[in-house]
Amino acid sequence: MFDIVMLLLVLAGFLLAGAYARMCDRLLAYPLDKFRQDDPI
Amino acid sequence: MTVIGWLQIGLFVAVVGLSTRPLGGYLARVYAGERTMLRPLLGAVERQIYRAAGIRPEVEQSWYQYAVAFLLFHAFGIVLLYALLRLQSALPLNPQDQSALAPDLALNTAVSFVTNTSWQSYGGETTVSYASQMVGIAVQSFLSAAAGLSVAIAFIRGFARRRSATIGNFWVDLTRGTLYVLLPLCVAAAAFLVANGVPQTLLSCADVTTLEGGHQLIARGPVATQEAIKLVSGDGGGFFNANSGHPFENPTPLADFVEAILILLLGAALTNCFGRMVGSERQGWVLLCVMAILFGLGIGGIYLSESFGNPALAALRIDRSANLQQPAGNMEGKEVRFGIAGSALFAEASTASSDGAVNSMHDSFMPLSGAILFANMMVDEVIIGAPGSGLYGMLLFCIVTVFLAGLMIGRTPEYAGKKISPPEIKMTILALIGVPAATLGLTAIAAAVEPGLAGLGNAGPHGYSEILYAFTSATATNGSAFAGLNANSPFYNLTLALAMFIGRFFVIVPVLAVAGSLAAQPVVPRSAGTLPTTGVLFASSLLGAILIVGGLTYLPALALGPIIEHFQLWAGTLY
Repeated sequence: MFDIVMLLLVLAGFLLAGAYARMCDRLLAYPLDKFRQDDPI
Repeated sequence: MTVIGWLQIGLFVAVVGLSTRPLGGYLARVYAGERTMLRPLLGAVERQIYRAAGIRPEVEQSWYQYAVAFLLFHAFGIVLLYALLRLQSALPLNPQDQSALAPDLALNTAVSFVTNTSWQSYGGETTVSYASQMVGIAVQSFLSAAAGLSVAIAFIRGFARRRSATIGNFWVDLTRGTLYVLLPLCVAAAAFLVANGVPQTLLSCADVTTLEGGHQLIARGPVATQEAIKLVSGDGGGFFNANSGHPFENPTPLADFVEAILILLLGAALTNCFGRMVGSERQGWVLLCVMAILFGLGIGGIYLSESFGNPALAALRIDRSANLQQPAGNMEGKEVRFGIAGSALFAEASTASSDGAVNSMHDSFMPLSGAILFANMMVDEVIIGAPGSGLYGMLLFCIVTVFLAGLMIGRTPEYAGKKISPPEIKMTILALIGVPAATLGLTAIAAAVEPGLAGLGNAGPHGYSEILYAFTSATATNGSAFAGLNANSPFYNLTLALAMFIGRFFVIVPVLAVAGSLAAQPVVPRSAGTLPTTGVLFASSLLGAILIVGGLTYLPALALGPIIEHFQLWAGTLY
């Protein structure tokens, strides 16, 4: 039982890390002009 | 302080410095796939690995594919090591009949070694079987270090390549790092350690009769091989609970000296590898100089503080002078055979890198020395660092430095021929912010809840330091312990596993993103507006950025621990 909980924690961690990588990918692709529009300063 | 002590430190710095160029050149050739002296011997093995694993070495990956491969590889490693530790009682090579690790401890240990942290909530000789040590822990020490090296090389390629959509192939880099770099170094190191008296055997504990007629079990095992990779990999997880303080891990002053060198060997060489790959060795020397200055400040501070010792002893009229009969200073928690210089050097090397091996108990260091050990880890292990993590941590600070300098003097931020634009800055900040957020947040939680306070061995600021050190060590993937904290509880096993996870993956993912972004850029030609990054001005700016960012982030936390403890010590209050 505890083993399943621990392995689920590992799975959740790596899913989160994968989502983090996806977020970084999208942030990198975010166009500079759009960035300037969103943050006029 | 003694002349011999300073000579020992000076010789150490000289040996590490002199090894940098040849080893850096070797690393550059290995990762470029060029001919090296070991390729005729290991080339066939490399090709067989690719064939067996279905790897096509000529096919490269984008940063995202590289990151996904990195994450999948680590996920597989954690599950495998977890299963091994849970099933060790039913597996062979378990002469002491060690039982399975508890689920939370197995998870903590698996995450610890797969992330190259080697935080150990257990005593090695009393908890894990030989199979777990050899097949699980030692293997992960190799692979986690090779993976860290791969990330550093991919990051360097980001600077070195022009308009490239790829940053290399993770599986190829991993294989080459293991085969051509880590294995040969470890074979040589293990042979040296065996010659110095470190055991290498599969026999169970020796049952000896003591002089008083009693029986004593003396733990032994395949120590030398694990010791070698523990040091070379920047991993630091000891075969024995006492780590390199144990005479079977670190038997002689010569072994101690060489072990400290092995900790920093690859981290230092990577600076030269960086310089070569970006076409300017001076770039690498500047990084090494900044690392050396920070290292010098650290070792000087620790040696001074430990040599002065505890001021409370002065009031007791105890002879505190160094002479042939005694090293004087603070010898609590230190091995007599290493003395103060050897202990200070090892502690500095171990925390400046992300190795985490110890030959003395950091908990027993003077508060100011403890603050330096904290600071070494809190600056993201950029002071040479472990294989890979030290270099990419330092390069992140280079990006911050050129960005800040560009803002101040109105020049375009460029580094190593690449323009530093908003995407790289965003990723750099993401990489730099995750570690302090996890360290400080988890420390605050542990210092406020009952399960966190239950593990403390001391009260007051020293107890707080024990908690802060544990989370700092975990997020910095260092793995050394302050001692005094009983971290083998479900609360600490799980929270420290989380800290190690964040410290590894939430730094490396944005690092690879920066690499991908830089690799896609053309090289910017040098112009009158280019800030030189090979001079004293840049080196001092980089030094300032590291100290200011680290200082601003962590000074309040340090003030509550070792700094206040230092002042209370001088006021006569001991913890």
